[in-house]
Formats: sequence, C-alpha cells, structure tokens
Amino acid sequence: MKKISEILLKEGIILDLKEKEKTAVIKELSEKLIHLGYITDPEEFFSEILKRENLESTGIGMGIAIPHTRSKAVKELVIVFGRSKEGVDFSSLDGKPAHLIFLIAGPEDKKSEYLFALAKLSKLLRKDELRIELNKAKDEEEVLAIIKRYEI
Amino acid sequence: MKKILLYLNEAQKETIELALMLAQTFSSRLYVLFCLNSDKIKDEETKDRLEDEGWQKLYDVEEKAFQREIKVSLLFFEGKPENLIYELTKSYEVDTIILNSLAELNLLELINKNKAKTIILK
Repeated sequence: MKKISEILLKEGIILDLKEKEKTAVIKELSEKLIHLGYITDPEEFFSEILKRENLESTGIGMGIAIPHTRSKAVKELVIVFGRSKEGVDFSSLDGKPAHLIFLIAGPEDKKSEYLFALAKLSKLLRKDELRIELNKAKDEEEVLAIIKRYEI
Repeated sequence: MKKILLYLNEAQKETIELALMLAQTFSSRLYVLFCLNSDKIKDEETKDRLEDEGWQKLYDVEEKAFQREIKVSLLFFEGKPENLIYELTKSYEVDTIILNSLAELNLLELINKNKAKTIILK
C-alpha cells in the first residue's frame, strides 16, 4: 500500500482556496484533478463526489474535511489538498469550519487501497502538531515534507 | 428510529448488517462510533494499531452505507466507551444504540445511563 505522501499530488496543492462554500471548494479541488488528467469523465466524477457529500458529512472535525469518492471516472488513487484561511462549512459534527481539505479520488476497482488511504489520512490528521504545521506551511514542498515527516 | 448509534468496537458482521438494515428501512441517520479505549492503551504501538484498525473499520461501514444511500456520520474518539456512548447519545439525540455482546464495556451501566433503546446482539 502506498503512503499518503506518495499519492498526494504536489501539483494538486492549493494553499489559498479561492472558493468559500463547500460545493464550490470541492469543484475547485476536482478541477485540479481534471486538469492534471486523472479524471476521464468530469461530470460523472463531480456528481458522485457530491452524492456522497449529500449523504454524509466528510468534515471530520478539528478543522478537517476529507471529501472522497471511488469511481469509474478516476484513473488512479490520488489526493489533492486545499487550505482555506477563513474556513469552509463542511457540516462537521463539532460545528467548526474546515481549514484543511483533502480530496481523495480512487478508481472503482481499488477499494482496499482507497479505504487504506482514507484511514491513514484520517489517523494522521488527528495529530495536533501536524495540523498546526500544515496551517502554517509556506509552499507545496513544505506541505509534502510535513506529511512525510509525520507518517514515518 | 430516527438516529441510530452503532458501537463498532468488537461489532461482528451481523451487528453491522443489522444497523445498516435498520437505518435503511427507517431512513435513519447512522452514527458509527469507534472508541479508542483509554484503559486499553498500554503503549504507542498499541495505540497506533488500534487507530489504524478503527479508521479502517469506520470507512468500511461508511462505504457499505453509501452503497445503500444511508446517511452516515463517522465518530472516532478516545476515552471510556460507556461515557462516550452516553455523551454522544445525548448530544446527537440518538434514539437507538446497537452493539455486540462481545463489546468490552459495562453493559448494565450503559443501559441504565442511557435513555435510548439498546439492541445488544449475542
């Protein structure tokens, strides 16, 4: 199984998200994936990720959201990351807005790798120091370096 | 049966299936709780292993719930299970708790403390 730092795309890191609303933020992050060529059918992908979002809150609290989906429209398991200074309302159970948003996209036939990545990332993001450092990271390289350091 | 809480620790396949079936039948919101039992954490290695196990179990249930279009919320907390179940049941106004009799917690304390109906699978 791959590490988070191996599937988090450096080109897929947005340090200052333009959008402020949940659906628009998911779209902004999805567009990164589309632009980088990981999505075969953007419409299908977007509709599937929003369908899940409507059924459950992917805001896991502590200022984190992990929107995710497994779809035929995805070529390989990848993660894109966006940071929002103001925070985005992801209907987290703790009522706090999400500042660190990780979007995970996995192919339909890679269920175990996808679940493994979701579990690893959720576990990793429970670490207070890691979240503080991610909120302060100055560039994409630093984001990757922080993730690498904490997942050892 | 509007809000169901499934205590995932030690929950067997049948327990998970019952929670999903009831949530689907009654269009309930399903809260799935994995508790990192503070009494059981002896060292960092155990904590690390339990955290991995917990999140994987949670996302596995979430995936099953998603396939059936069930509204689901994942809960991962560290603490004493009896207290956590009590607090979460109260704050989310859960009306039904589902767990397995294998769950390593004080069932009597849990039942006496909570107002919600409790379904315990043997």
